[in-house]
Amino acid sequence: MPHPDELKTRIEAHLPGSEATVRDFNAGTGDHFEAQVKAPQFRGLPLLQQHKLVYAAVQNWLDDGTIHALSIKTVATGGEEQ
Amino acid sequence: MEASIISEQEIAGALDKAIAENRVMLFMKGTPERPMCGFSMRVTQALRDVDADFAAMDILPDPRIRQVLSARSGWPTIPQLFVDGELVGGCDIVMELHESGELAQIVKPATA
Repeated sequence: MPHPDELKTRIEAHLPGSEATVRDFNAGTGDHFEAQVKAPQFRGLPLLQQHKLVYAAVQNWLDDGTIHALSIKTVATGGEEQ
Repeated sequence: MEASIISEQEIAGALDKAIAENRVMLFMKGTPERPMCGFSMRVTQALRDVDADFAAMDILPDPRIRQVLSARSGWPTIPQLFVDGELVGGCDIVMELHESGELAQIVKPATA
């Protein structure tokens, strides 16, 4: 099972300039993760596309069942702060 | 082998039909009455909270349902909510839309 830090590394590599916080929220099982991702790539994108960008970073783990669930919260960075 | 009786093309056809015929279509693990996964349960509850008229399909009986669905939608996880033939999202997005009040608007029956 991947460590949350491995997901963080993958996501941040996939989305240059992003900052990801990943934790295993189903303590112990190691296949339910929660990711908060701040990335400039999200700006102007619908939520659906933002989440797809995060999924893409760990696609093979989702496909082969290594990760059962990945809960995602996205924040667009850059530009004017709200 | 019962699983081999139905082809993947037929599964794809059944998915397309379900999405086309049901304005609000939920693909989930289990059924609305007996969800088999917490994420599917939460989306079912959110849809009920907003009195959505929705149809649901259990993806668990055949692993190929999920494979064909994810290939079609480009979305890797279950549940998946479709409205008007378009993927709205999975559990996180549905919950965000529910919290912001948008879900009720999205699933509201189109008035003639």
